[in-house]
Amino acid sequence: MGENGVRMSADPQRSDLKKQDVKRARIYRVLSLGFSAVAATTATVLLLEAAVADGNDVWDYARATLIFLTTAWLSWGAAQALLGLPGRGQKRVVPDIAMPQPRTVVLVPICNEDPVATFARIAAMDASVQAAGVNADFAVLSDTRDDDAAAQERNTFVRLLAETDGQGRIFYRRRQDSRGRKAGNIEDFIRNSGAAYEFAVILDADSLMEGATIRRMIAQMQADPKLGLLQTLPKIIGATSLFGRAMQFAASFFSPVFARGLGRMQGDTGPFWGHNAIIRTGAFAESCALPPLSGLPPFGGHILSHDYVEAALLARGGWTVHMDETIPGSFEEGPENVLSFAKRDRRWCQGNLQHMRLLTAPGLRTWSRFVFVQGIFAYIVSLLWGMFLLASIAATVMAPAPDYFPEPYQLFPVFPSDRTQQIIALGMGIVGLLVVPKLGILLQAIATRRAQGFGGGALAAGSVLVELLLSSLMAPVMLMYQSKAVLQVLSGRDGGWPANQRGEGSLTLGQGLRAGLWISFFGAIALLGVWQIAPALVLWLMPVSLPMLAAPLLITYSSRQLFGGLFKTPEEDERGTVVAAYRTIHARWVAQSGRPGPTSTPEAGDHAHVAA
Amino acid sequence: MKAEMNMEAAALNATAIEATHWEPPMAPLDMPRQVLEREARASSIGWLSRFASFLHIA
Repeated sequence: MGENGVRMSADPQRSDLKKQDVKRARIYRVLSLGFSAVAATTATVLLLEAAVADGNDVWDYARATLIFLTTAWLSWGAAQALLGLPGRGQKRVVPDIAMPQPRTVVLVPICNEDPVATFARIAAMDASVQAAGVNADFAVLSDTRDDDAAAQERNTFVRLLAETDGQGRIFYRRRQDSRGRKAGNIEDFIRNSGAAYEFAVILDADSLMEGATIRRMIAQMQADPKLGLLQTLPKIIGATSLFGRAMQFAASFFSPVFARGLGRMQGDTGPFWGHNAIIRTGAFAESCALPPLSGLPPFGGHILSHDYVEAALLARGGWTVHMDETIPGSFEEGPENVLSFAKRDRRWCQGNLQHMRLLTAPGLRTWSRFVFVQGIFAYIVSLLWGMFLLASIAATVMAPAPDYFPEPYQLFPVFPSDRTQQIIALGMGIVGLLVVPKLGILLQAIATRRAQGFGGGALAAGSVLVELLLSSLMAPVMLMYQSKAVLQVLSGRDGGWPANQRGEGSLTLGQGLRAGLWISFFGAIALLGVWQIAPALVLWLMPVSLPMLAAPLLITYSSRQLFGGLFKTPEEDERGTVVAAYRTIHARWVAQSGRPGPTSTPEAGDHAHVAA
Repeated sequence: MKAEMNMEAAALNATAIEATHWEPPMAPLDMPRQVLEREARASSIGWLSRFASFLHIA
């Protein structure tokens, strides 16, 4: 360890390169922060110019503060995309694995998952790993509490061992208690078995990874002894609904650019997203045993969003954490409808808000603290947008009536100056921050021929436009869900750790109504209220209130299967991949087990509900 | 624990019991518990006691 607890590299050339990387990351951070500050200040000035035309009051200053914060957040996202637009430049030399191979284990923590789907994935990955010439063990770490579900896990594990001849390299253990949830599950493995392995690939139950990908990750870890964790950018697969396919497309088309921008800013203090990553077991062991926080949930107890904290702790320990979005062959599944998305988001919201407790944790890098702030802000910002709308309505209602004759004995009336231009400029600026990065990514994809994988330039452009429309319609619905989640957490309600409902598919209209009627109610109240007290604002409120009114329909119909070629992604061509192998094994196991199949065809993805 | 499996072959309905060789290898690794919270309680109590002594009430 060097000074300040920072692990020093033995290779001076590598050390110089690292210093350059750190310097470059700092420049990117300053540029992005500067861009956000300029955009937020411009928005605030435009709003104040328009707002003070009829005299200023407390609502104007409230609006100005809120527009500053919300625009800063939007600009920060836009800055990431703009920073990620330029490619990586010269082709990097990808190292190959050094012999003798380091002992590596692939960890699959599970809790009430569909065992057939989970173990079929492991069978596919095991074959892929062997084909890639990698010696890696697999360990299924079960936290399943239900005895029947655990029995099904054991039965399916027997099948997995038999099919793969995996005895002695594919392991299964079930904890007696689920202390610390997923982080505790991994910790338990490392405490008991960590010394047997130099590296551990951490997956989720719905993760899939090519053997060649694991080989490359091991090689990258070997090539950089300071690297504590290497995160891949998993691509979403298997989506069939409009909502799911839009997310799948966005993850494949936009995310690599956003991630590259994020990576440039983060430098050596990269992210951990909890899965589809490889860790150096020793580094993780010495840095990442998480303590429960004092007090009760939602702010105390076990750390829910443990991955962010583990990345921060590795950095605190002097290890580097990298995200490499160029590593192919890393997959996961995503939510198929708004409801399952919102359930997952509720847990993430509580986890991120819990990080308020960690902002002053001793020894953390400034950037790690800033990452916590970003995570908190990602949820708080919904509430801020809602407050901005309310403050705008209040400001209009409270505004004094125009005084056409402010001076005594005035001959001609003085009309209030028209500030429509500023408001339109502000609106266009905000829309621009949302749209320009995505259009920039589209243009770049067409120019670099990346769009070919998405069905060509025309189809990619169509998909981008529909995604923009859909995300604009969904934004007010998501805003309501996130605001509700934030208010629940702030009022002390613990959401717990509900079982994953992977692949929860098509919703009925009744389910859509139950999930979204409360949003329609708030939309109607807002629209009627504004109609009564400030009719001039009704038109401005329409982009928010109409999707809110239509929330049940949006939730229901976006969960339905999408036909046609829209939202095509390169990952859909699964020939010869670990994904195709998984589909084949899964279909065979489901057929042989004689149990009812998944809610949709195996070819369309894993849609089996929790077996418990 | 011995590995046992009662298989109803016709039904392909196995009831497996967790076996020792299913467990990952035993190779313990020390994992020191990290400190994430400053001694908030202690320091606030300390601050309170200092404040109280300043006011001569403790």
